[in-house]
Amino acid sequence: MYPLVIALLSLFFAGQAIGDDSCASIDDRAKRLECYDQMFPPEAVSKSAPALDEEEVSATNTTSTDPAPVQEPVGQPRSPAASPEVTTATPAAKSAEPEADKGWGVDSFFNRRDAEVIESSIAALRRRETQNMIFLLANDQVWLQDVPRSIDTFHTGDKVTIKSGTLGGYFMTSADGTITRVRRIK
Amino acid sequence: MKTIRYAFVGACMAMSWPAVYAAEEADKTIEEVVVTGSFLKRSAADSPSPLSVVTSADIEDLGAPDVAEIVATLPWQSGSQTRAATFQGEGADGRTSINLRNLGQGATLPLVNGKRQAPSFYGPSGDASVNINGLLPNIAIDRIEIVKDGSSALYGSDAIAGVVNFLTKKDFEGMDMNYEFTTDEATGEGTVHQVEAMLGIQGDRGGLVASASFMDRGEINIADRYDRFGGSSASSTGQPGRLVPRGGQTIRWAAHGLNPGQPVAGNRYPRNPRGTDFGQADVDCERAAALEVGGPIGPVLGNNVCAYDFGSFFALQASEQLTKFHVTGHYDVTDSFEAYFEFAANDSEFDRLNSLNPNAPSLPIAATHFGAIEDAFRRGIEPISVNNLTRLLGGTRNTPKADRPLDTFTKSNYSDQRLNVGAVWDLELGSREWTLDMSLTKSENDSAITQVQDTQSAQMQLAINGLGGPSCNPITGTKGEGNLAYAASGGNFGAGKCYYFNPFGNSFFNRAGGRQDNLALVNPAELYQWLAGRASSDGSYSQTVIDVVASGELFELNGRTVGLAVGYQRRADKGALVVDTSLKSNNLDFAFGANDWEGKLTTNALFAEIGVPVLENLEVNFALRYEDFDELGTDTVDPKLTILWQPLDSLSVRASAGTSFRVASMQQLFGSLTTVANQTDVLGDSAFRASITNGNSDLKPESVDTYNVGFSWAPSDGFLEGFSVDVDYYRYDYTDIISRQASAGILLGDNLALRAAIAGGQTLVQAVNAGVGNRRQVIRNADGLLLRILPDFENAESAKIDGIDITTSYRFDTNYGMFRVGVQAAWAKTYDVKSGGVTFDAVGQYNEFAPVARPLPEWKVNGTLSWSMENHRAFMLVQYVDSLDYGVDLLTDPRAGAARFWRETVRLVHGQKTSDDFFTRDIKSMTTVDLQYSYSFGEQSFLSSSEVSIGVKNVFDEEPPWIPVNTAYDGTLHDMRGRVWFLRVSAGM
Repeated sequence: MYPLVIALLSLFFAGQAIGDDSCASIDDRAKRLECYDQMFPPEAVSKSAPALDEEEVSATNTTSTDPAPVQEPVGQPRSPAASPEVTTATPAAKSAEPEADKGWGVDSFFNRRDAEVIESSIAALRRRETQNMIFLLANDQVWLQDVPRSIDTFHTGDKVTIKSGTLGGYFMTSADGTITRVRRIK
Repeated sequence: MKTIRYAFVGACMAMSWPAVYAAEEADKTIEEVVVTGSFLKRSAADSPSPLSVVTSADIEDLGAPDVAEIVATLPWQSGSQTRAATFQGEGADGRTSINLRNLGQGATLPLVNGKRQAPSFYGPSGDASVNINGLLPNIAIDRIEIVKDGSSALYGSDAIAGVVNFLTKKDFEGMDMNYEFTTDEATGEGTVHQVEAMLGIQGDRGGLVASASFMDRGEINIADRYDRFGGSSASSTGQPGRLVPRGGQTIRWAAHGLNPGQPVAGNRYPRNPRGTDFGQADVDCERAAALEVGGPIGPVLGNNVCAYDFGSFFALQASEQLTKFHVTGHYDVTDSFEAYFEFAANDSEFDRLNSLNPNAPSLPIAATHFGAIEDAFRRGIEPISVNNLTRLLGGTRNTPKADRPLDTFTKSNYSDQRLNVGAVWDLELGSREWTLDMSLTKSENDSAITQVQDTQSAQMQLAINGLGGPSCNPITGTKGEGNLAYAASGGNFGAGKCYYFNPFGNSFFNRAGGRQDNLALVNPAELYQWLAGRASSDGSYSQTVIDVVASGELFELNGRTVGLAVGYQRRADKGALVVDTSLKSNNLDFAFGANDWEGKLTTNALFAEIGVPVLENLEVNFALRYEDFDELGTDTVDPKLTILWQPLDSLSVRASAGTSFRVASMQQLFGSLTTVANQTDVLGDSAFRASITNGNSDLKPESVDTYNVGFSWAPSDGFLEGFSVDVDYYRYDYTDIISRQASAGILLGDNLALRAAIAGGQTLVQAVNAGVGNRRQVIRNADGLLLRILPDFENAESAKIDGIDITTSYRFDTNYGMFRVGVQAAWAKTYDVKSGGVTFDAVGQYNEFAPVARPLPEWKVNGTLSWSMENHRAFMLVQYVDSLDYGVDLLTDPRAGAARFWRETVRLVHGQKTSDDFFTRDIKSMTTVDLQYSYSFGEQSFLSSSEVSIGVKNVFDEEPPWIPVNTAYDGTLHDMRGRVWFLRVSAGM
C-alpha cells in the first residue's frame, strides 16, 4: 500500500527543486525552479559509482537533467522540471576499485565500500529543542539527524557533504567541519 | 513501518510548499509516533501532558557514565537512590530508582519503548523499584521522555507521579563506540572505565540495532576521605567496646584498688585502680584507638562508650561492574504488517565489606569469665557481671589478617532480562487508518546476595559462657577448659573443647599495653570461624505482560481527526525470596533472620482513549482504564482528561486532571522485610537493630488525584526565534499511601512509656514484664534491652503536593559560534503530609523521620550553556540544590540521639570545629559547576567520525553540605565527590 502511495506522491515532487529560502518564497513554480537553476548550476556526475541500493541509485546515477525519483512507476509521465542541483561525486580512485576488493575481510574493512559522496547545500533545516534536526537539501533530499548534538552549527545555505560510514549509515559534514550522523528519509 | 513516515514527508514535499514549512511538516510527522503519555499519534510539541525530554545529546553533555548520574541532575525528582553506596542506598545497593516529585521510589513507572519492566529491588518501605541503571546501555538511548503527571488511566499501576519512558535508537545504521574514563581528583580512587558500542544494520524491509556496554567502577572508601566523611559512621559498640555493669551489684575496690574492699563511691565503674577515671568504655579503648586510624576512636560520652568507626568497611561509592546488552529489530513481513522484537539483559556485581558487627542481644557476661576477671583487675575492682556491648571483630579494613581472622564481605549479583516480541498491523477500515499493536513482554530479575557475614546468636551465647567451640558439649563440657588447653599447648585449638569468647580488650592487649601473650585470654582464629555465620538469599521477580492496542481515526471534525485508542493488558507478576538455612534459623545477631516467601498477582486491564478536536485549535482527550487484580479481589477505575489549546502556532496551553494508583508491591502484600538501622534505646545507648515486617494482603492500592496546567511558547520568528519556555503547575492529592511504620517512632513511643514507668519507681525489667509500652512491636530481652522492632505495612498517610516546573532556553547564532542558554527549575511549593493525625510540610525538610517524603529541597535549578563552532563544542552545567532543615532539635529531640553521639565521635576524630559543622540542622545549599569541551576530528582513516571530550565536574571542588547523619552527607541530594575529571573518546563507522 505505502509504496504505491509513495509512487503516486513522487509524481508531484519529482521535479520539485528547492534551493534556499529566497527561491522557496517564489510562488510561481517555473520561476522558482529557474531561480534554483541559477543558484546551483548542473555538474557532471560520475557514472562509475559503485552499486547502491535501489533508492541510492536514483540519487547517484541521475544526471543534471534526469532526477528520476525513487520507485517511479513505469509509464507515468515524468515531471518536466529538472533538478539540476542533484550532484553526486564519487572519487575516481574509489570508483576504479575492482569488485573483488569489496568482499568481507580485512581489506574490505579498511577500504570504504560505498564511499559515494553527496555534495549539496542545506536549503532548509528544522531545529527544535530536544529533537533531531531535519535537513532539506538543495538536491531535494531530506535527511534526518540520527544522533543529535545539543547544539550544532548547521545553517541554511551551508555546503554539506554526505558520505557513507565505514560500516553503514551516513555522515553529513559541513564546510566548517561540523559533522553529524544522518539518515535519509527522502 | 518507515513507509508511513516517508509517505507523509513525500506528501509535504509534493505540494510544493515552502521549504521551511515542508521541513516543519516532516519534523512533525517523524515525531508523531514517539510521544509518551498518549496512545494517539501526535508530536512531542503537542503533548497535553507536561513532558520533559532528555536526549542522547544531553546524556553526552552530562558526561554521565550511568543513568544514575542523569537522574541526579533532573530537577523534577528528589529522593532517588543515585549513589552506589552502602549508607545512601536505602537497600538499592548499586541500583537506581527515579523518584518524580519525591512521591516515592515506586511511584514513578519506568518503561522501555513503552513496555513495562519487572521490578529489581525493594526499598526500606517495601516499595518495588525498577533498576533504571540496568535497563539499557547508554549508547542505545535515543531519548528519555518523562511525563510529569499521573498516568494510570493510560499505563495502569505505579504511574502515580508520572512515567519515564526510555526510547532506544531503532533506525541506527553503522557503528558507534565510546570509551569514558572518570576519576575523583581528591582521592584518585573511584575511577570509572566504561566502554560501549552499538551496531545497526538497516534494510528496505527492516533492521537490527545491537548495543553493549561494560562499566567498571572503583570504590571510594570512607577511609579514602576520612577527613570529611569519617567519624560519623561510628557505633557505640566496638571491639574493644562497652561493658555495662548489670543491675543489683555493688562494685567494690579490689585489693590493689583505691579503697580495697570498699564499695566504689556512687557505685561508679572505675577504668583504673587509682580511681581517676570512670566509665563503661573498655579499659583498652585508648590503646586500640592509638593502634590505627579509622577503627576504634576512643572513649566518648563521659567514657561510657568506646566509640568505634566501622566506616572503613563501607563505601561512599561502591565497587561495581555492570554489563548491559540490548538488541532490537523490526521486519516488514508485508507492506502493512511489521514484526518487531527487543531483548535486553544486564548483569552487575556489587561488592562491599562488612564491619562484623554489633552483638545485638547484649549478652550478660558472668563474673567468672576469664576476660571479665582480667578486666576487673585492670579496673582495680572485684569481678562483676556485665552486659556485653561489643562486636565480634573490630579494626579496619587494613587490619592484618592475623588480627582479624575473618573475611567479611558481601557479594551481590544482580541480573535482569527482558524480551519483547510483537507485531504492528496497519489496517484500513473504510477510509480510516488504524493500527493494531500486539506484544508479549517477559521480564525477570534475579538478585543473589551471598555470604553476608554475621554473628551466630546461639553460638555467641554459648561462647560468652565458656561453652563455645565445635567440639564442646554444652551439657557436659567445662567452661573455659578449651582456653586453658589452648594456652598450655601453645596455641593448638584442638587441644581443648569448650572456649570462652573474650570480648574485652584484654584479648588483644596485655597489662603492659603490648600484645596479649596470655593465650588463655586470646580468641583463637578457629573460634571466630565457629562464631561467624554466613547468610545467602536469592530474590526473584518475573513479569509477563500481554498488550493489545488498537488506535486510529474515527471521523473528521473541525478539519482534524477524531482519534481513538482501545486496549487490553494482562500482567502476571510473580515475586519470591529464597533464603538459606542460616537465615531461616533466626540465629543471626545483626540481621536476625528471614524466611522464604512467594506471591503472585494477576492483573487484567481494559482502557480507551479518545482525542476530540472540539475546535480547530482545541483538542480534548479523555482516557479511562479499568484494572482488576485477581488475587486481591479488588479493582480500580482511573480517568484522565486533558485539554490542549493552540491559539498560535508558537503557543500551546494544556491542562489535565485524572486519577492514578499504585497497587502494593509483592513484598508489601505477601513477603517479609528485614532492615537494620541505628536505634537509640531507652537507656540512651545507640546501636543497629533489626526491624522486621511481614506482608499485608489487605493493603488497598494507593490513589492520587492529579491536576496540571501549563503552557509552551516557542516563537518561530522575530528576535525571539530560538527562545522557548515551558511552565507547568502541578498538584497531587495522594491518599492511602502504603508505608512501613517508622521503627524509630515505634521505639520512641515505647521508650517514653518505659521512662515514665522508671520515673515512677519501676525498674526497666519490671516495666517490660508488666507490659508497659509497645510490647507487640518492640521485642526486648530478659534485661529489657532492645532486640528487634516489628513495624507494620499500612495505608496510613496522605499528602497534598503542588509546585511549578519551568524550562526555558534561548538559542542564538553569533560570529563566534552558536550558543544556547537554558534554565530548568523545579519549585516545590507544598508537600503537606498527614500522618497519625498530624500534618507537617515536608518542603525544605530533610525528612529523616518522615514516613513518606525523602529529603526535599524547595528549589532545584539547573543552568546550562552550550556553545558550538566548527569542530569545537563546549557545555557548562550549573546545578543548584536548595538548603534544607534537618527538622528536629538536635539537642533535645530523642530521635536525634545518634546525631548527638556522632557529634562526639566527629569531635574526637576531627576536632571541635568539624564537630560543630557536622552538628547542624541547617543543611546548606550547594551549587556546582560542570564543564566539558569536545573536539571533533571528523573522518580519520577508517573512522567516519571521531571526537574527544574532556570535562570537569564540580569545577570549584565544592564540598557537599554537612548533614548530621552517617557519613555526614546525603547521596540523594549531593555528590560526595569533589572535582572529578573525565575523558571520553568517541568514534563512528
